[in-house]
Amino acid sequence: MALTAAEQQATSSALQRQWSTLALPCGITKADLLAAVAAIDTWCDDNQVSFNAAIPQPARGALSAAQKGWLLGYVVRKRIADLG
Amino acid sequence: MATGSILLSPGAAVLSDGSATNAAPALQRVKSSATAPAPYFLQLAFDAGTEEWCSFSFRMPADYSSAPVCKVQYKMASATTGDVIWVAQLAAVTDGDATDVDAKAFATANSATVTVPGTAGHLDEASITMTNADSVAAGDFVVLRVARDADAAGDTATGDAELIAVSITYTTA
Repeated sequence: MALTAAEQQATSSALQRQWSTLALPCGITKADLLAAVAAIDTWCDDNQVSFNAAIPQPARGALSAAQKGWLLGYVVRKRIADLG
Repeated sequence: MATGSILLSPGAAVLSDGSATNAAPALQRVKSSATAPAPYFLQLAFDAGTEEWCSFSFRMPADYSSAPVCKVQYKMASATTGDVIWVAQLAAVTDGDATDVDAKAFATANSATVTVPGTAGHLDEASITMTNADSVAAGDFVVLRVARDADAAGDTATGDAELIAVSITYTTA
């Protein structure tokens, strides 16, 4: 389910706080970042089918949609952490 | 006539109480990453999404005459593009005024929009001309409010704006 506008704003704000804490340079404006959050949210909607298809059985059939979401989030976070 | 300065350290800031429209910046002790002994200093981290503010109180020096300008020195935690809007407001009470200091309000806000440095951590200074100075005079009890107008459309820079020093300059008598 797509994020609400308020949730997208909250996501953008949380990202900014984290990047501030980590002193990660950010060369875009708040509006640019919010647009990116919204676009990624839309991308998640548009690619649900292909993402689901990428998960092998039996996980595809056994995991709930929420668990698959967590799975995606953890894999992405791990990849970012590995970059750091 | 000369130019006088009032130096205000982040450590002297009075943080607002966090209630509605009273969000406060985080007061942080910063340790330089340079080889020890490296500088330590205090900073006030102003959020990018919520308008946060703090205040400084002092007695206006005896040589004050006119033209107060609030100088805000800051750096960005992460942003390398966009603008920040700094706001300053004064509340001044003169000895003998029929004013309840406990109920005193700020004068109309003054602001300055500045483009952040192209590198995070680099210093920039905003000069806010205090056109609305609440008729401040030498010897007054003064409260200065400093805010980042983060929820304004014109404040476009991401992440925290880190205030590291504030001064008020003025023309002396």
